Amino acid sequence: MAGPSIFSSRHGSTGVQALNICLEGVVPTSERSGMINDLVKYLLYERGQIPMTYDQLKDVISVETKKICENDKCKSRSLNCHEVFLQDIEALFSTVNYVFANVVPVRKILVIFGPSIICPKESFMINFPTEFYEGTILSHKCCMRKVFRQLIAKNFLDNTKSPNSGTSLFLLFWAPRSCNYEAARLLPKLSFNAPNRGLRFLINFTFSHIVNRSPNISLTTDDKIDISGIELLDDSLEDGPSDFNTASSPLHKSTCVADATSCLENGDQTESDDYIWYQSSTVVKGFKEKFNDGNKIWKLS
Amino acid sequence: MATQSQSNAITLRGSTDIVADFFVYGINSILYQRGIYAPETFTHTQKYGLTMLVTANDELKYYLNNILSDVKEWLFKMTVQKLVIVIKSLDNGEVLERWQFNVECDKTVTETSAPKMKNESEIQQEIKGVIRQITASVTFLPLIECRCSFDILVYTDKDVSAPATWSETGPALIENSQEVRLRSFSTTIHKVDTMVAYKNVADL
Repeated sequence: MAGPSIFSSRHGSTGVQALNICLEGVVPTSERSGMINDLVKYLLYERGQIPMTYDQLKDVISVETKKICENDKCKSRSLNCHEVFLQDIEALFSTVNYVFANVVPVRKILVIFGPSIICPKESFMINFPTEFYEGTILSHKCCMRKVFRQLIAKNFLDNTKSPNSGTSLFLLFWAPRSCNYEAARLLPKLSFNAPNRGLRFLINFTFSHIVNRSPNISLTTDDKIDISGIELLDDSLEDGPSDFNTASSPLHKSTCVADATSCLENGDQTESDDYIWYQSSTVVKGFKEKFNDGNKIWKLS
Repeated sequence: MATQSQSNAITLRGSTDIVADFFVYGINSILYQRGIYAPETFTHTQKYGLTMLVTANDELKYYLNNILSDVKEWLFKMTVQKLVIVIKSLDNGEVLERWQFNVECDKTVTETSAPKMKNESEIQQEIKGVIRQITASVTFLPLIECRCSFDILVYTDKDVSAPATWSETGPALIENSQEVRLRSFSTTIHKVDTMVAYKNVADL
């Protein structure tokens, strides 16, 4: 039976810096894309790829754009690097949202900083559990508060030297081989393996109150399974496959149980045979703010 | 080579300047991030390779300038132990957050001592890490929804006599608080640890 990945942290330049984050409650699939997007925003700032936080940057760019448009130069100008960044990062977030909404389940996300995915400076592997679980559903705000508290309190990145600003960010998903990747604008990377070079970080999410269901689930007399804590799925088995998954993929509640059961039984075998890495076609590049070195704002007496 | 060794040599005065500068930008960063003052009253500048937000409010600048000039003097004399930013609700005076900077000094160092060696860029890298963590802390700190004020408390050695502008006060601790320790930096003469304590609120 597949369980959450447990890694021991190893020190040293070739080891993996691992962090297990346990959340007391349930994080629905619909919230996980938000988690990934917030982590990407955090990593971009923390690793020195943007000069201020994403939210601050968005405000600044919005004000800049407004000023330019007021001067009636809006139509003729091309986008500056700030706006290109914002455009790309929003496209990346859309991809993440789409994948999580349509792929069941997304087990791993890989964030890579580097000139290419095969030449990473740093990589961040994010693991999600895939068992059935019950418990209090955590709101996004509550969930991220807990996540960031642990990331910061445990000094996960340990003041390691950041890559140079303007390093590319690549996002990869560990998803079923048979998925409709074109709909999600993903690029299959059949021969890609998780990096074994550069600085490597692992974030393992585990949810407490996990109930590991036995593969032999007894159906009730009316053939309906009541699994509290799981979102109700659209009861439309006859409608056929979604845009992203094929007909054999778990969408409907009852088929979800059956397929997830086989996933639980097969565990790693399913993972290695039926899942591959897909790269988001959007690559994000940060930038370094350039200032004219003006007078000091402060001068202490 | 002379330039290289000069940038690695840290004197007591140099270390004091570095820590005092950090307090300037750290305090400004906290005031901005926690919304104590309106965002439009801050202006961008660059420090430590980061885009920092510092107040453009003349009254606040004057206030902070005066306080930090005294702090700088205490840093030089190595009599300061902690600097604390206390954020309080204006409605009921309740302490909501405490940003504490613990200062450890190498008291063997004097004004005439030989400089200690540490790469300036390494110190800057450490300070950058602290500032980033201060900024990132808003991701887990409770939202401050009421109007707030701030106080600056300085813990000094017992025999220190403060100017008349300072008065002795209590620690302004938070009841039922959670604490998170952030990164630290060291000039080899002064070491500064940062932590934040906040009121424990029920998760929504």
